[in-house]
Amino acid sequence: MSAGPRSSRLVAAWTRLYTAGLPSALGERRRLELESDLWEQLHDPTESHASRLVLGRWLRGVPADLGWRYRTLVDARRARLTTPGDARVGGRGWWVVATALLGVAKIVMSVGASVFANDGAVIGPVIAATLGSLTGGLVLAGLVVRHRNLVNGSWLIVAGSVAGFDPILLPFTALVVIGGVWSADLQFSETVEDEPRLHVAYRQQLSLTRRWYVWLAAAPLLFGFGLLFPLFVYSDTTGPTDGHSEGLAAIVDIVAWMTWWGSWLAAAVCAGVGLVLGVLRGVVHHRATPA
Amino acid sequence: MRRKPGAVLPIEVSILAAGVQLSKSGISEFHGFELAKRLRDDDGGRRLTAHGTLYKALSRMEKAGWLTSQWEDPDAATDEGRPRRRLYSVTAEGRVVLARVLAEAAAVTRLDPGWSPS
Repeated sequence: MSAGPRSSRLVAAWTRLYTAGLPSALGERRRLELESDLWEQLHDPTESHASRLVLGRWLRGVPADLGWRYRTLVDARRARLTTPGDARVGGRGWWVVATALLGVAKIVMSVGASVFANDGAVIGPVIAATLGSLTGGLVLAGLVVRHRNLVNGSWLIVAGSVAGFDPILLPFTALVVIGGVWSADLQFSETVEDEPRLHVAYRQQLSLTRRWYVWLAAAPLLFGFGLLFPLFVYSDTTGPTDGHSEGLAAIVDIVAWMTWWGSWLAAAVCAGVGLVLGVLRGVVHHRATPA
Repeated sequence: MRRKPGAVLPIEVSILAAGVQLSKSGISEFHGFELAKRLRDDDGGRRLTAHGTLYKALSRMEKAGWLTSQWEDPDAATDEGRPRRRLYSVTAEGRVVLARVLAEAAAVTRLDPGWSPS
């Protein structure tokens, strides 16, 4: 095989690679345009050392190819998100299922605990069941609202998840809250990208996930929660398994263990993310500041 | 880096100018490689514009309404035994943008004779 076809095969392979996953019409158009361009260059009688020049043109254009791919993906995602009735693509299927389970669990657990409470009290369990049902309802309502307004629906889910927080549901709650903040934040940033006034509001109020000190502040909170969590579960003075069946005690132990270590792991991750963001911000600020 | 509204990049000015020049010489539509050669000749350089840079700029300018494009007739390509070309032409809006940029450059040059767009 001569150098010409080899270089054009290389460029064609690269083009297939960076157009993979893009809207098919755009990817196909770019591939066909490049195919035509390569053919023209390699068959142009005025071009000497064409195959070497093709490689040079390809290499110099790689950053622009990647930039174009990124921009095309963002535009395609924005087009999908702003299409009425298709807003749900902002959330992954498993996250939606986890959110629905959390909402149902909040309602079932609060009502169940009130129904089976045997301490003779009436008002307390009713209030607990009502509050639990309301917060669970908020989570489920958020899922419905997301279909029309991804940002508002996501924040509704976050509010419902955090309100009336139940330590037993910590892993689910953390998953749902992180996913909710993430999708609301992403969608909002894309919606307001071309709107300077909203962009300022976004930066000031909603871009919590990009602020290093928020992550650092979350770390000791999670660490403290992991430290205090056993007190919630094992508050009985006669021992952790007293009054429970062996099976239930084992489940409580497992949940407690997972929550304990999960909280500390989450604290470590938050601290790490906060430090990295802080350092990056410092580096960027340092570079942007004129000497 | 985000572009300022209304800003035109140097490569976009070059493409618009090359397209208008080709149009004046009777070539109303041009394809990517033809444009790359024209840009190289106009610039007096030896290197063709990189694939990524050229087609990214063309895509952006078409989206802005400064260029329009279409696939050529498949029969023409088949007859010549080559892949189909995507043919571009400068729109009226593109010509207005080019005229504005050139007028601004001329005004600056009058104030500062040593200034050049590059």
